[in-house]
Amino acid sequence: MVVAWTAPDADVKVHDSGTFPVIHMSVSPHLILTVTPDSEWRDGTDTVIFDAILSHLPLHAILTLSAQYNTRLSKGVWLNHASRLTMLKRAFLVPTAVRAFREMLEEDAPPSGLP
Amino acid sequence: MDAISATAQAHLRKAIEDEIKRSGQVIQKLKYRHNALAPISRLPPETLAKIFSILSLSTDDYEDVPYLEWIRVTHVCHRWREIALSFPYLWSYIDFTELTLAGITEVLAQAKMSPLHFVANIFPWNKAQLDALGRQLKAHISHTRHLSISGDFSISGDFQTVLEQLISPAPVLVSMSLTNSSCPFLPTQRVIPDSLFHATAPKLTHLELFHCNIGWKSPLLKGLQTLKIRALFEQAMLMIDDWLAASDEMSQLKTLFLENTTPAVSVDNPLISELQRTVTLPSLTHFDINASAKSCALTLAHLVLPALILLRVTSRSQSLEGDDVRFVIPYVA
Repeated sequence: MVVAWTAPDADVKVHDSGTFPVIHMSVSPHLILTVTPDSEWRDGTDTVIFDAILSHLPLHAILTLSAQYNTRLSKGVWLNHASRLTMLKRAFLVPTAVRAFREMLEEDAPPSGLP
Repeated sequence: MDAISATAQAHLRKAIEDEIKRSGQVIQKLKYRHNALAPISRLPPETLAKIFSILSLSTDDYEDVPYLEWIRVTHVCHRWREIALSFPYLWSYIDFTELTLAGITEVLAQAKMSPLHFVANIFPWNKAQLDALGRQLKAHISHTRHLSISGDFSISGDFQTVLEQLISPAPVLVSMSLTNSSCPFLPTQRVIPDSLFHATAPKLTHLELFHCNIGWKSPLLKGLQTLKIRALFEQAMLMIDDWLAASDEMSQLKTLFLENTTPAVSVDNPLISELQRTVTLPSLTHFDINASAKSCALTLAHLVLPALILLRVTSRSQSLEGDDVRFVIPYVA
């Protein structure tokens, strides 16, 4: 599931509520895309789909990014899109997404060093 | 002597009873005058009726409030009863499930010609009950504003016949909801007949159908502002041209919810790449589509949605590697 808001920090407010289900969202999102397999996907397909979705989203305008549940994003996915995340101020990542994020930073570290 | 005495006693008894009756009437009038001095009695009847209406229409919002609970206000005093009985719109919410046939007749009599809100859960109704529903709907459809029927349409007598007999125009009907809860593995046979309301419901703006088919050429679809259709399985025979033609007629649509109700596509369908026509829904602000990934893509590819506030796409991938999802993504980003 990918949820996008046009209001700034809307995903932060979702975290504050402690729940992620759409029905409990305090700020109405602009887009909710849910993709489920009819039977099952080959391993890693969800990551490929996330990669494709991120390619089409206006990442250059994103201020805050949340990866919830067991979102799996590979280092390659982060590297593909990092250059467009120029406005990103805060990322909230679940453990399944943060490891690859750190690997991406280690490979393409910012000039000021790793946080 | 005894006979005279008995006659005299009867007269005396009758005189006392008359006196009691007169005294009762005097006391009643005094109570009426006494009540009239209460501050709330200074409220005009229209205002009290408005307050009563809040009670009478609260059933939807507060499900724990029993239907017709508001009638208790008629027991408070003569004036309140008179007011409740003299404003027919207070009686306009008719729940067939909660009332006996006699009760329905009584409430309808009080409602007179005010716009009605009919509600019925027809599970598990027998033929006599359905016939009664059909008769009342036929008799009152001309002043029915809201119609909501749910239940297992496949076993509750012949609900299809009820619909087929509703051939009079519904000039004030604003919203209609039909929810068929029959077994999901049975084919959907329940089809809204073309003759429904003589195809005339000029004020119909809100239509919800669950597991209850409607032809995309139905005139009832024109002028809708809210359309919610849920089917349990995709309709393989739904033609994109019919669907687009119907969409073209719904320029006032603001909210559209489609579940398994968009044209289904085979894996090799070239329609997306050979797009020849789009339809603009200029007023649509909320679009919720739930279907296979390719069907979502096909639908979104054919629509121009300039006023959209929320797009919710729930797509099922039928590909082992999720390739079909790629068709959807360009239309949601």
